[in-house]
Amino acid sequence: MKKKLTALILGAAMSLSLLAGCGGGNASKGPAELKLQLWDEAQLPTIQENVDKFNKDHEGEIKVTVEQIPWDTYWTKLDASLETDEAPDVFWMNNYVAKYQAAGLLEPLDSYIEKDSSFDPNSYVQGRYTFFNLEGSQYALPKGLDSVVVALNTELFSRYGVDLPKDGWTWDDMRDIADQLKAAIAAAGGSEYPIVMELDAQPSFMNFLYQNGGYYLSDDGKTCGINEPASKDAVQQVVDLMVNGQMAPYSVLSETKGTDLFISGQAGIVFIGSWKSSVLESSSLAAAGNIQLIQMPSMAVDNHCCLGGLGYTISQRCKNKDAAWEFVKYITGEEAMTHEAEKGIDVPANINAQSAYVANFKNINAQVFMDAAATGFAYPTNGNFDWVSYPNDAMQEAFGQTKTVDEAMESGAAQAQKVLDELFS
Amino acid sequence: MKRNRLQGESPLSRVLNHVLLIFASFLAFGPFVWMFLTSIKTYEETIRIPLKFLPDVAQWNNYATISAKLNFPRLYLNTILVTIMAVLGQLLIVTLCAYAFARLRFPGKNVIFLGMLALMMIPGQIFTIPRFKLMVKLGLTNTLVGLALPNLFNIFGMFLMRQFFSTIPRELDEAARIDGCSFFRIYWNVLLPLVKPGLTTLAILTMLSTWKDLMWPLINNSDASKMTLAAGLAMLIGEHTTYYEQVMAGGVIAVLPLIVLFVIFQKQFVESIAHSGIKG
Amino acid sequence: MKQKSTHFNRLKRYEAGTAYLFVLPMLAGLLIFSIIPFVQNILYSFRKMGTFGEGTFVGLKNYRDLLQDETFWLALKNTFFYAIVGVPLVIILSIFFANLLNKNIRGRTIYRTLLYIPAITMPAAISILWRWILNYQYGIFNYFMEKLGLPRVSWLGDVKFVRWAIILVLVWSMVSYYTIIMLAAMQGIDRSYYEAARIDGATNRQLFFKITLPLLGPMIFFSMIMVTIGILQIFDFIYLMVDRDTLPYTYSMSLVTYFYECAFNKSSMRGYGAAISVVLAVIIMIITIIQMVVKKYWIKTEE
Repeated sequence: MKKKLTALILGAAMSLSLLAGCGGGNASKGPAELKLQLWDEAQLPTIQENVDKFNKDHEGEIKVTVEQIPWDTYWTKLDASLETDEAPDVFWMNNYVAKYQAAGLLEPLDSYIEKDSSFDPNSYVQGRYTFFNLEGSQYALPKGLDSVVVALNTELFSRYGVDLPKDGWTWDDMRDIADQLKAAIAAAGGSEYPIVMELDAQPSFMNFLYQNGGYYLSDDGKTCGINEPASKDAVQQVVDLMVNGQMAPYSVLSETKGTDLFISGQAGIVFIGSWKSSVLESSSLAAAGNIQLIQMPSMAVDNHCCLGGLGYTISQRCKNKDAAWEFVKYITGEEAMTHEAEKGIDVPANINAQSAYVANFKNINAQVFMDAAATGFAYPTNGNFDWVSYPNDAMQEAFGQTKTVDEAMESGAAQAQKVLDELFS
Repeated sequence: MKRNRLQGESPLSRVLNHVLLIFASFLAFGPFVWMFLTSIKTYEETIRIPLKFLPDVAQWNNYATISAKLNFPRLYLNTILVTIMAVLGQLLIVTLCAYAFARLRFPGKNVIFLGMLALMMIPGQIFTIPRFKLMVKLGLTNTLVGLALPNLFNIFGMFLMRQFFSTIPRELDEAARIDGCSFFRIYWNVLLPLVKPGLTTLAILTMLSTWKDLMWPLINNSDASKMTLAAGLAMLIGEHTTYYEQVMAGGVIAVLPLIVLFVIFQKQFVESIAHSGIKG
Repeated sequence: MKQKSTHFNRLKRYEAGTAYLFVLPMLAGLLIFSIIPFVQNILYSFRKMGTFGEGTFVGLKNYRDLLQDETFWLALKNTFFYAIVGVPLVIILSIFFANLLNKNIRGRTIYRTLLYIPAITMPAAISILWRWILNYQYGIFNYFMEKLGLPRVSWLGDVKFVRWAIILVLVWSMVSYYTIIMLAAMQGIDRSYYEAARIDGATNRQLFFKITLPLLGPMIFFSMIMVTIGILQIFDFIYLMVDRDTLPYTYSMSLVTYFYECAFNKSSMRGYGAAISVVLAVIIMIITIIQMVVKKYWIKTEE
């Protein structure tokens, strides 16, 4: 009886999975099929065009399909799928690369690089190429790079009679300008803010910490440094901007993104990443010729920006790895990246494609992003992300003024350090 | 005086009732009007200060713009398909089980019944992680079947249908038994046609919960082409919050058909929701 | 005699066999999708588990960590805040509106339709709509606030107000649903009670407090349980109305939102997420049981 019951339950379960209709492998002899997974909807159309071109060039041999998954769920979905046949063959990768490399989910590219005489590593910005080199092996080819600059609303400056800042400016200059703007806005009964910024790490505090001589993560990846005096001072300076009405308050910035406030004409100055370039370019503000880009102001040390960017990796589970290599080489190569650059969707990490990028922008001077990239430093990461929520939450607590800078940084660093110490013990 | 009281209300309180109801209707429906008005404005009009109620020219192209970003016909089709799977599946599984509990005698009935009651009281989040891992194993992530499957075994629906079965006089079954009908035939040919209102209720409640559910589609499915309407709308936030006129156009596309359906079938909807407030 | 009893037994066995066959699909489904996952989830809560693999056994560590986790306590506090403020509001307002709609008043069909629409609208749409209405710069809510001489408030950006904004939208959508339920219950009350009372000269107020409300008692009680359970599981509105990765999100976070973030959006906290779901289940069970006991006691004293 018991056996029968088990059999029945199993039967029910099986019929359920039949009902589900598992597709099953179709082992036809068609072209090698590859699935590419990425997150950015805005880049999808251009990348699709590149993929179509690639498919046409390799008709009958390789067929690539693209799947876009929004950023919010990209990594969760990727993690789930990497254990199944649903796994993408090629996918976008960023600072998480070390995590996936450590889990053995990525295919090392060294043997393909060696075999392939048509491939030249020197065609990429070296800082981005070596970023994906872990424990002596290359795990991805870089697609683009993210730099951070400042955008000015020139119409707003002239309307309120304030002079525009110039490259080489400092935070003191910025505060001075913000005060002038603030006074003029108040006098005219306006509702604009002198300065705005995004609250995410990369376009904001990740730059300020280092520009002021502090650090987020030590070079050996073992120490979180947000509680260093120079780090605290950098954060305090941002908080002071908000307190003094030079920057939009936290409650406003956490509801409406800095970029959105800026392009809707609500701000004079915004710290902005190059990944927003097409948003700027297509705004009515830029169309009217009212956006000017300049380098960030210097803090105690310099004004260098934090450099991010993503690359293409090949899954360990991929069944057509040679085809995948061909594709990755193409999609990060000169032809494809020139096309991306012409569409202005990403600052190319491929040097041969960079000039096409700048030429493409009519309403903003995109060369400023390139110049910022030239002196940029690599985004600090050690491949583990269990600890990062603590410093990031601490920043939000400090900016939101629910804690003092001192309290927030000390407790954030202590919690992060606890995880880091466990990790490296 | 006496007549008034019998009718219930003095003129003053009748006016007051109308004022209260108009205010309440404004609160309940006003936001949807605002959604529509925003959806036909230009971007500049949405961010104008002071606020502007009506657009100068209705911008219907917002609907085209948002439709190019989000494939609404696909989202609708997905939502409808998941609903149909969930409704049909429940019709087969849940009502059959409810019939057994309403009519048949078998050892362990009370124990199983109580067990189900207890299981119903456990909040759904406790099953979510293992269910997702199971879906990964079965290869059902990113499929519509994966969205419908965990909802097929609806205990509340079972109690509801049991209630409906027990309102039907037992004499009908007994007569059919004497005629030599099997239990399945009694269930299928005699009783099921008589609990049609119950089936409608079950279908409408299943539909409402499928349409409203956000977390499971968000977890189980990733591909934009495999999303339900609710999860698809969620994708609008974050990516496009700058352009509220487009987001609102998307909102109108998502809610309007259901509102129309509701106005047409209000009686059925209201009865079903009222049943969700009946103790199992 | 003996033959008859075996015949009877066979019939009984046939009936029982059929019954088992009929409940089998349901039970098998529950076993696969609820009972086994329930056990697994409890086991997961004792593991350190990431988004891939089964992780390692860590005993009670996840639960011990919960006790020291500020965000968890905040989420717990918020969840209770939503329930304590939300439940009375939903119940009182839905009775109030149901009573209005129950009156023989001109145009009540139109009023009913308009008042019911939030109940059938998906939370995702409600969220994007209210996100726009509550917008600090351009939202119509702040426009009306200013017209009334009140200051502008960043409802979704200010940590002091964000929970009230969530309550507002939550109550708005739930009142509509429970108005339907309350009205149906009111319509189920025998009209002869009212007629008899009116002949005795009762006022409308008396009718409501002496007849409607007492007879509605069981339904109010049941709704209270349902609303409490519903609010304790609040997720959609917070997830969709407040920008994630910002302070207001943390400050409005509910247990379920925190569960979701840990279980599905952090790389190595799935076991921790499982522990949160266990805590949530225990809380809901305790509250349900308390309410059941209260009900029993209440009914006894009424008798």
